[in-house]
This record gives sequence, C-alpha cells and structure tokens, in this order.
Amino acid sequence: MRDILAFFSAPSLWPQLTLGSGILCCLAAGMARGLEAATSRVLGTAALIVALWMLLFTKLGAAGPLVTLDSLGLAWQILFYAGSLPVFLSLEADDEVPAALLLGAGLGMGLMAAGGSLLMLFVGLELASLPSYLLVAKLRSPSAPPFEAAVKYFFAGALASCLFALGMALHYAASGSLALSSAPGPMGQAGLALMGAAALFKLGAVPFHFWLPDVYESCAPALAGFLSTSVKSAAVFLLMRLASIGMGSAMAASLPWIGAVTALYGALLALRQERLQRLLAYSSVSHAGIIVLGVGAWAAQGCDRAAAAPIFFYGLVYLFMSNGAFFFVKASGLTKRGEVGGYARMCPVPAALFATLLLSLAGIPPSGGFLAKLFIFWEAVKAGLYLPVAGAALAALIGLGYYLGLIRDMYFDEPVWRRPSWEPGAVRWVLWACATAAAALGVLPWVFSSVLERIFS
Amino acid sequence: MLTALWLVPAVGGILCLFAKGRTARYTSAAFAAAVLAYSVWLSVPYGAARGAWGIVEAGPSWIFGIRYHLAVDGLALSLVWLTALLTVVCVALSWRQDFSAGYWSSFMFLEAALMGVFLSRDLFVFYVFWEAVLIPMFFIIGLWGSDGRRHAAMKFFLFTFFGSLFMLVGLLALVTIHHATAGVWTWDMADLAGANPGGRMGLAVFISLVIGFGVKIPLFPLHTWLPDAHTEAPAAGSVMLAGVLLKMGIYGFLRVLIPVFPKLVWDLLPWLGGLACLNIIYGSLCAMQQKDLKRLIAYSSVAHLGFCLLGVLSWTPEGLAGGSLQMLNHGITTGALFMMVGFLYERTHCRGLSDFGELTGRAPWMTFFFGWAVMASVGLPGLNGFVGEFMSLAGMARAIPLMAFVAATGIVLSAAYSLPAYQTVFWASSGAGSASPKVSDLDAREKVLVWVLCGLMLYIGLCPTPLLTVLAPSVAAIVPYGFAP
Amino acid sequence: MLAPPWGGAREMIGLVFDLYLVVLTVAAFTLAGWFLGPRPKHEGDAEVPYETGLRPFSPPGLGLAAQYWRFAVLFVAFDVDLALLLPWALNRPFLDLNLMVSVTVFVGLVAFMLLYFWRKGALECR
Repeated sequence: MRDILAFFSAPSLWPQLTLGSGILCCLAAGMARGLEAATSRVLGTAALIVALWMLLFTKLGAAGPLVTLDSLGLAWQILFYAGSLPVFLSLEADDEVPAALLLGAGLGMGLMAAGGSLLMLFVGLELASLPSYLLVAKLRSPSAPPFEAAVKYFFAGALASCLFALGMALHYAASGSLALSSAPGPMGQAGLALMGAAALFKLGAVPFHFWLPDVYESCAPALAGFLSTSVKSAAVFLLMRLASIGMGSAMAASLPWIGAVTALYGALLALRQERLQRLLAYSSVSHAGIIVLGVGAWAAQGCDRAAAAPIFFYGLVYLFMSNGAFFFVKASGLTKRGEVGGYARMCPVPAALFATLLLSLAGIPPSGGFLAKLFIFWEAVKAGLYLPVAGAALAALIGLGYYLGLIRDMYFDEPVWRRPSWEPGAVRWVLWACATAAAALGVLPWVFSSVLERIFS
Repeated sequence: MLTALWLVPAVGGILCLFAKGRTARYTSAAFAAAVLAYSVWLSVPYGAARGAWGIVEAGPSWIFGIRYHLAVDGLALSLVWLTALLTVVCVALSWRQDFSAGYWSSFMFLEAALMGVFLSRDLFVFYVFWEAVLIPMFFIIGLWGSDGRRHAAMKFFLFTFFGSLFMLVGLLALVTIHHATAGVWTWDMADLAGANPGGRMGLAVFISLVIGFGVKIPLFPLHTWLPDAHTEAPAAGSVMLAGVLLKMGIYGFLRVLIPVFPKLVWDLLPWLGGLACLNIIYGSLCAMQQKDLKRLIAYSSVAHLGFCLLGVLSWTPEGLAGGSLQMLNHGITTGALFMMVGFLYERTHCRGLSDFGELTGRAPWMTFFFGWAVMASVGLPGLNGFVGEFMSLAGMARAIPLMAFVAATGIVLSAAYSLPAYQTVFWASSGAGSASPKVSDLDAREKVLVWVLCGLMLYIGLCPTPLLTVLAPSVAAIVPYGFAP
Repeated sequence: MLAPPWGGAREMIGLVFDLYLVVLTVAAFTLAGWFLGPRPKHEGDAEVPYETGLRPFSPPGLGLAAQYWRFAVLFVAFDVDLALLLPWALNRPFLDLNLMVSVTVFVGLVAFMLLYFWRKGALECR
C-alpha cells in the first residue's frame, strides 16, 4: 500500500498523472451525449496547462526502479507539453479522438522524460508514437492522398521500434539489466548503436529521414508543427539519454558527423521544393541535424547535465519558430512557393510575422534562432569539432537560399495569389505569439539565461 | 550615453513604420538630425577625456564573457560622425520622392546597426550589429531599387552572410583558444588583443576572419557583390553602401585583425598587400570598361578601398593615419558622387554614359560640383582625396616600396576612368544623349547638400589637421602591435 | 549478473558460420532448381488452380467481411489485458492491499475503455 501511495503521490509523476486523467476526461466527455466536441479541446488544453504548472512542483529524484526524474527530464517536459499546446488551439475535428490522442502522445513523452530504465524509455516511445500515427491519419491536409503518409509513418516508426527493442535486447545480454548504465563489450556497443539508430529514426536524421517529408506534407499544418517540435524533442531527449549511457562509444562519436550531413542534406533538398509544407519539412530535417550536432558536442564534453542548456534553448526557440511557420501556412492558405509572390503587398502584417519567423529559422541576428545556432556552434567548437561546425555553417548558408528566397518573393514580387484568405481567431494569436517569442528570445536572452540556470542547477 | 546613438535611430525606425503619409519622412528627418547633433556634441566629452578610449559604457557580464560594452575612440568617433552625416544626407536626398514608410524606417534601422558596429568593444555585440546591418540594406535594395534589384539584393545578402559565417566560426574558435590558454572566457576586444594564437589553428582562424572582413572591404576575389548592389540600390542606398558599409571591413581590420594577430599580419603582409594592389589595379581597369555611371563609381570604390587597406597594412604612423583618413574621405567623396548620380537618375531615369552629354549649358552647377567631387576622388591636391592617398603611399613606400609604386599607378588609372566619364556625361559636345533635355539644374535643397559635402572635401583637403588629431590616438595605439620601425 | 552461456564473441563464429551454410545451401538449391528445371509453360489454363475441371467461382482466400477486423482488434486488446492479468492471478496472496489497489486501477481503466467502446458503437454487429 505504501508503495502504491508513494508511486501515485510521487511529485515526479504529477504531470503525467494529470495528462492521464485528462485523457480519461476527454473520453468521458466524448461518451456523454449532448456535449460538443469543443469541450474535449478545452479539457485537453486545460490538462496540458495544468501539467506545465505542475512541473513547478515536481521534485527531482527516483520513485521506484523505473522512474527517475532529473533536471534534463524536467526541462524537456516543458518542451513536450508546450509543443502540444498550439495544436489544441487549432483542432477542428468533430470528436474527442484527436484531443485524446494528443494527450496520449504527451503522456508517452512525459513517461519517457521520467524514465529511469530502458524499458520505461521504450514504453514511453511507443506510447508517444502510436497516437502520432493515428493523428497523421486523422488530421489530414486537404490536398493529400488519404492514408499514404500515415501508413508510411507507421511502418517507419515500427521499424524504429524494432531497432530499439533489438538494441535493448543486446544491451541486456551484455550487461544483465535494463538500467540506464553503460554496457560493456562489443555487444553493448552494438546495442547502443541500434538504440541510437532508432532515436535518429524518430528524429529524421539522414539516412533515416525518408518518411519525414511525406508525413509532414500530408498532415494538417498544425499537426506538422506538433510533430516537428514535440516529437522531435522526444527523439532528441532519447538520443541524449543514450549518449549519456555510452559516452565514449562509436555512436556518440559519430553523432556530430551525422548531424552535419543531415543539416546539409536537408538544406540542399529544401532548395528544390515547390510546396511550402514539404519545404518546411526538409528545413526541419536540417534543424534536426544541427540539434544532433549539439548532442554530439555535448556527448564529447562529458554529458554534463548543466551543459545541456544550449540544446534545450534550441528546442525552445525551434518550438516557436516551427509552430509559427506551420501555423502561417495554415492560416494563409498558401501551399506552393509560386503563390507566395507579392503576399506582403496584400497582407503586410502576416507577411511581416512570417518574415520574422523565417529570419529566425535562418539564424540571422538579432533573432532567437541566431542565438540558438550560436550556442550549438560554440559547444561544438569547444569540443574541437571544427569540420562538422563548418558543415553546419554551410547548411545555414544554404538555408538562407530558401528562407531569404521566400522573403524576397513575398516582398519584391508582384502579387500572384488572387484570393488571400487570412484566417481569424486562435490561429492568428498563436502566430503572433510564436513570432514575438522567436524575435524576443534573441533580443532579451537575459530572461532565459536566469530561468535556465534555475532549471539546470 | 553611447547606447543612445543606436537606440534612438532604432526607436525612430519603429515609429516610422507606424507613421502615415508624409509623417514618416519628417519623423526620420527629425531622428537623423538629432543623432547628428548628438554625435557632434559627443566630441566635447571625448575631448575632455583625452585618452585613446574617450568614452566608455559597459554593461553587466552575460554568459561566457559576453558583455554589453560600448566605447569610442578617435577612429570610432570619426566613423560615427560619417554615419550620422550620411544618414542625414540620405534622408534629404530622397525627400522629394514618394517612398513608403518602410523606406524611411529602413534607413533608421540601418543607421542604428551601423552605429552599433562602430561603437561596440565586445566581439559578440560587434558581430550581432554587423549582421543586423544586412536586413535593412536587403530591403532597401530589394524593395526600392532599380530593375535588377531582386538578384542584387539576394547576392548582397548571401555573399555577406557567407563571409559572416566564416567570421562567426573564426570568432568562436578565437575565444575558445583564448580560454584554453588564458583560462578565462572573454569576448572583449582589449582582452583578446595580442592573443596571437599560433600554429595551424591560428592560421585557420586568421583566414576565416580575413574572409569575413574581406567580403565587406571588398577584397579582391570577394568583391563581386559590390557592383550589382551599388548599381541596383536606390540613390540613397548607394550613398550609405559606399559611404559607410564599405568602411566596416577596414574598421574590422583595424580593430580586430591587427591587434589580435599582429604576427600573422606581419608574416602575410606581402599577400594581403598584394590583394590590396590587385583591388586597386583590377578595380580601376574594370571601371574603365563601364558604360553605366553607377557601376563605374562602384568599381572605383573597390579601387579606393584598396588604397585604404594599403595604407593600413603599411603599419607606419603616416600609413595608418592616411588609411583611416582615406576611409572618411572616400565616404564623403563617393557619397557625393552617388548623390549626384542620384540627382541625374531622379530627373531622367537613365544612368548610361551615352545617355547624357552637353549638360554644361543646362546644369552648370551640377557640372561644377560633379567635377569637384571627381577631382577629389582622383586625388587633386587641395581636396581631401590627395591627403589620404599621399599619406597612405608615404607609409607604404616605407614598408614595401614596390607596392607603393604599383599603387601610385592606380592614381593615374583613377584619373583614366574618372575624367573621360565626367567628360562624356557633362561636357561632350558630339551630340547630346537622349536623356540630356530632361536634366535641369540643382534646386535649393540639392545645392545645400552638395555644398555641405564639397565644402567638407575642401576643408579636409586644406586643413586635415583637426581630423588627424582626432584619429591620432587610435593610430598610435595600433602601431606598437606591429614590428615596423 | 547474468553471464552469457556462450564464451563470447569468438564462440559465436560457429553460429555465424552455421547460418552462412544454411543460407548458402538454400540459395544453391533454389538457383539450381531454377536453372536446371524445366521452363514453366504459361499457355492456356496452366496457371488456373485445379478445381476438378470447373472454373473457380470465387478468388482464393478466405474473403472475410471487413467488419470482422474490428472484432479482431478488440479481441487483441482485451487479450493483452488478460495476459497482463495472468501474473496477478497466479501470484496473489490474499491480503496484499498493494496489489489489490493496483489491479483494481488496471481493471477499472480497462472497464472504462470497454464502456467507451460500447458508447461509441464499436461493439455493434452491423
């Protein structure tokens, strides 16, 4: 009895419990006749906000053999829950299923954040992935073929889960337990490499990125924002946990190179894209590469928890930038690059917001994206990884080609899109919030540095 | 106190964005005039302080040694004056034309960023302001330029960003190496001076920084963004580009490269000097080929800045003083030239050399002042160009006489491209071009602008001493870094 | 700490070699059959399945109605629930309140899901 009560009253798990009860409330609201679907949206948003608030009270430490919360997990939960919030504000579904699925994904990510064993990481990963597959099937972009992307995502994710399970098995065989400690010998290294491959799969790093553009292009833009921020942060967190298990391993040493190649590949391919959502998908591959470079630099410097602040900051800024960009695509109704021409002349304020987001994505001072990239590059330079940094910097330059190209088309061209539809309501507020945050985090970094110090110390 | 120099224009830029109708230009004019007055007034506390670093303003340390640290010495103060003056000139230059509010606010933001570059003493703040210059200039070229503006704006941004990325990685590596050897994180220019990292790493960092600054100078292989950007920008944009933005590169050399890498600069001096000579010769030869007036002046800027760099690299007191002075001179002279080309373009929408001719009767004042500016650019004694070029050559003659010889031929070449162009546009009597009938003479506003700039040219040409006295402490601070006698 | 029953990497070579042999043998036989065997004839009715001389009425395979899939999924879900309850059933000492509470919560959640399916019409036969 004491164990059970201890488990349920462990402050480390309150956000997750909140989300769990949120799921139950959403489903109950869906069951009850006479309640409209918007209730479940409200319930879901409330659950997320309460979970975020509970993070203030969670205590770090272990609560059983499977659950250990440290400062990394605490910080990343902020990214997970905050990344899911914008989607709730734009859900147009007519039943409670997407809300419940989103909360389920959030719960899975939260369990992964509080995981103290490989088993918990796996359970959390699965619990976060399965609702994502269903969400991609349910919240579709209007012009996409029905279920192709969801099936592709499912198969790719299933492959990743298989890799992770196999890696866990090898890890267990080499070390005799599923705890988060290093496993000796070549079998342990192989297990770590397989698990790392699974994490890179979910992140969308080269050469496991093939599912990402199709999925991001075919789902609703708001959901693409969720996938690119929360799910990516979950994969980054998984990668960081794995890197801290196997610090000197080949996997950790190869991360900066994978990151640089991914950044370059994503940037080069984004240059060729004509459809906006696909362009943003490849650009998120590029940003994932830079984060992987950051994780590699972190691993090369000893996986110190306090030194994970740059990666967290990048995740935070990227949350705002990516959500904002996808929300702009949703709100403006633009789908192709060719339609963007002259948009600034017709809708100056939305174009200015999008331009701010694009400048932040490109990493131009004085925006938040620049500071985020700067810190990651700095960590890599401190770790002596000069060539990967050069590759990532080159990727940033190539990225300018399409980010600046979009700004150029919006401002310098004659208007081509004859029916600008600027959607009012919650979407507009989200866009404003994201653009302001992306710009402000660059100009007022003192705000974040004191908060981060509190979290990471 | 110094923060106001960049904060006030930034606030002005934001206000201009919300201004309706003609209020925007009045707002920007007011702010530009206020900044000019303030910057002139700053000479008082600077004179009172009487040190190499006259006025200092430091903020709290942020992370890893980054501090908000602004300071002003003679060199920075003179560049601040140049920026403030040219901004007022730009605002007055575009007064008659019907630009939207974004135009005026872009110039305000541009001024804020440029002030920040020249004021900052912390390398991080320097870098942020350096990059922040790109965005207003991109919009100025792209939204209000002439026909090829889309391509020119992208090329300008991408090229400069390419160089800045090198600069960023180089700065990060420099700070990390300094931390490894000295144990303390600092981004302060004074602390990093004399750091002199050696070996292959030091050379790599040096080359990255040379590329970063070289794009802006513009140094020979990295100059190709300049003709397009200058030609396609609106008149006021060209004035700011040529007048101030090109100085950022040499300022970076003087502030960052030479103090931090004295040994490498000394070792690689023949190479850098050779590139500077290439700038002069190549720029002049290209200028001779041009049929477009603005492109001609753009290439002449390449050549003139080669002179500045040569003077700076000579590392002698007179060379450094000459190079710094020539920076200011070039700003005023080329600013005046672009301004007057802007007047011609405003009237006729043509820039080609063959479009004009026989303007002496229609526009005698314009002919006179354009000739004045051309003579200053060529280096006629009595005008400002001569002082700067003479001192640079004197310094270089002491260091590497061969390069002084090559550079001196550059003066002849500058006459070779400027004078025929001047003659073709204004004096040619073999039939007026198609645009000539539309040219009217300068009106009152334009006359005032032209008198101000040409008067400055004469003043600096005849009495350069006050300006040289202002520059002297900065020059004296740099000379000891070198190994030159 | 579990020690692997085999001696380590060196001893695994036997297993790897064995696998190699198996794959090689199967591949050899398949290729031999393909190359050495008679060429299949693709003429006339040679490819239609033999059904005592008559043409087949329906395509081969079970041809289930798609709605049976829903029940298959529901079965799998509750079967997993059952599988997770089995250790509890086999191992419970009576007066352990700890386990009682945990299994009550578990069964309660499953019952909630059943109620949800019921209300949403997933259990309908049509």
